[in-house]
Amino acid sequence: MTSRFDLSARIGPLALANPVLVASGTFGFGMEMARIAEVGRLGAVVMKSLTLKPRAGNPPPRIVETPAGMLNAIGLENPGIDGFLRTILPQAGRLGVPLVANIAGSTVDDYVQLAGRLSHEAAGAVAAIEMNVSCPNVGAKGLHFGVSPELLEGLVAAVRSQAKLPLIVKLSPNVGDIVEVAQAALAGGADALTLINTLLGMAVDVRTRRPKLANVTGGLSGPAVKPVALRMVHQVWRATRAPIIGLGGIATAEDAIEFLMAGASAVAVGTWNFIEPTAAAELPEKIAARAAELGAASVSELIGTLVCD
Amino acid sequence: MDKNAFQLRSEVLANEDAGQRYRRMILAAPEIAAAAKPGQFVNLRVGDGLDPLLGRPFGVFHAEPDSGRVEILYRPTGRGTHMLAEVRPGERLGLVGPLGRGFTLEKDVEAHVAVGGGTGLAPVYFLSGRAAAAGFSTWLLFGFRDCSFGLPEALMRRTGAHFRLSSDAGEAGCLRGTAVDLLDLVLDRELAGKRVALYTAGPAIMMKLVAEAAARRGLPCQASLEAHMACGLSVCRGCVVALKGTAPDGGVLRRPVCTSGPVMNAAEVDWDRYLQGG
Repeated sequence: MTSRFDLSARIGPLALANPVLVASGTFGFGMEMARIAEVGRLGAVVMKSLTLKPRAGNPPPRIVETPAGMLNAIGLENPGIDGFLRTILPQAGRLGVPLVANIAGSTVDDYVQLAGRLSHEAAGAVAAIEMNVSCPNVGAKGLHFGVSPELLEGLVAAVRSQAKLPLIVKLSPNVGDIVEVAQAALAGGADALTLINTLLGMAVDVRTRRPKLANVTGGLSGPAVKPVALRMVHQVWRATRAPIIGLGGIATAEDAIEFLMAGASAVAVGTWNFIEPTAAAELPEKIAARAAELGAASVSELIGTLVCD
Repeated sequence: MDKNAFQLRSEVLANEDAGQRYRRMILAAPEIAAAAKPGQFVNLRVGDGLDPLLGRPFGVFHAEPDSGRVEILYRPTGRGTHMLAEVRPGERLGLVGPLGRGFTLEKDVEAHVAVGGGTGLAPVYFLSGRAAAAGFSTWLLFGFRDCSFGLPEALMRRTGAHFRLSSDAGEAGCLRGTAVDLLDLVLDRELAGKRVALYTAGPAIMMKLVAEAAARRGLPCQASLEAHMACGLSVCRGCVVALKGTAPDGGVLRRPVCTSGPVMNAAEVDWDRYLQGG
């Protein structure tokens, strides 16, 4: 029965064998996980955020466990676009899975340059570009691009003009109105949206009276954020009907199907990769089995089918 | 790429008191038992619930490829390890491993000396067992606060290494002092003039002092480090420690403990930052 379930997925212009991706920052560049997981069974791997220059990241502690979740403040540690193109992409390209490059910057020009270089130097090896817009904009007093509809639309439009690949914008949930920023990203030319990035949080050590993260604040992820993520995916789907990659606390097929029903076209496993590193690669089969039990014959028969009276 | 790490739901075969406030857990994990090398670790979940969420890293205490058994040693100190102490034989736990870079036995030395304290017993115990079994002259030195409730004798003898203990009070059979005092004594009295390699795991201050002793005496020294960790596979980048030297961006050079370690060349570690937690 499960063999007849159609797992094929479409995220705007991007056609994938199945709707299961892994979230940027939770799966390295893919090859780190090949020692334990069958990476080729994923719909796509969204790679770790890239910046123009290499970044060493934040001092530790960078992570802290919280109830049903964790906070992280890694600080975008990455080898930079040159190191990525020279040494990492040739290895990741042999994984046999579509790759999505994730880019981050502190100015509009950073993003434009990154998108331009990926489009010209990695077009055959990279299937799409995802923009991490939960970064401080040095030109706007550190305001995050992702919290201002005006800033975000301008940023996406600038990148769109250089990007020759499908363009996905990963939205920050740390906003007053998620629909407004989603519409801004689409107005700027995004082909699809990813919801949600981490929720800003913190944790305190009462004995030392210090924050548990060296960076004081960090991004909350894991099962604890799933209800917030589902709500935002559904709000944006209802308002825009845009292709959405839904993520936030997904561990099981049931979790994934909830996101698809709420309006996501595909899903991504994030923090759960740290707990069960083979879970994401096994998820497509499990979605097929569970969805077939629910009477669906394809992924598209699930998307946005939530019944609200 | 060949798989060299495995995710299992592993049956707990035993979970028992091991003396010195340690508990020993024996897990059925054939793939991990066959592949694990001294100094490597496993990431073990303490249950199937979502709180606590993450696995806990434990250095492999003992692994038997023939029986498929992997042993860890832990002390119930935090919430996770207290929950672990309640697990009963027959239950299954999420287990990932073996992870990390283990110890490398130094070549061209006349004796291997492993120095441990606290939960650092596990990696140096496993190392000394494998080194002794391979026919090398091996010494396992261990520092306790109080020797009066020592580890079961049979467990200690299992390594086949020369075994020496220290404790604060210096009970019968123990040197009065620290593991580092014990190291100095053994190097000066029992291994004087010999080419020796050192291996250490345990409290930060102890490893720093062992690293300094090694540098002073011109001996190679490997240390097994610890850090807050999530994935154990270097994808979360959470568990970095500072090394001597400078990063490409001019900042502090940091490497993930989970894949660049946990065992590192002690001469390369920035011990002052390690003592301060990073």
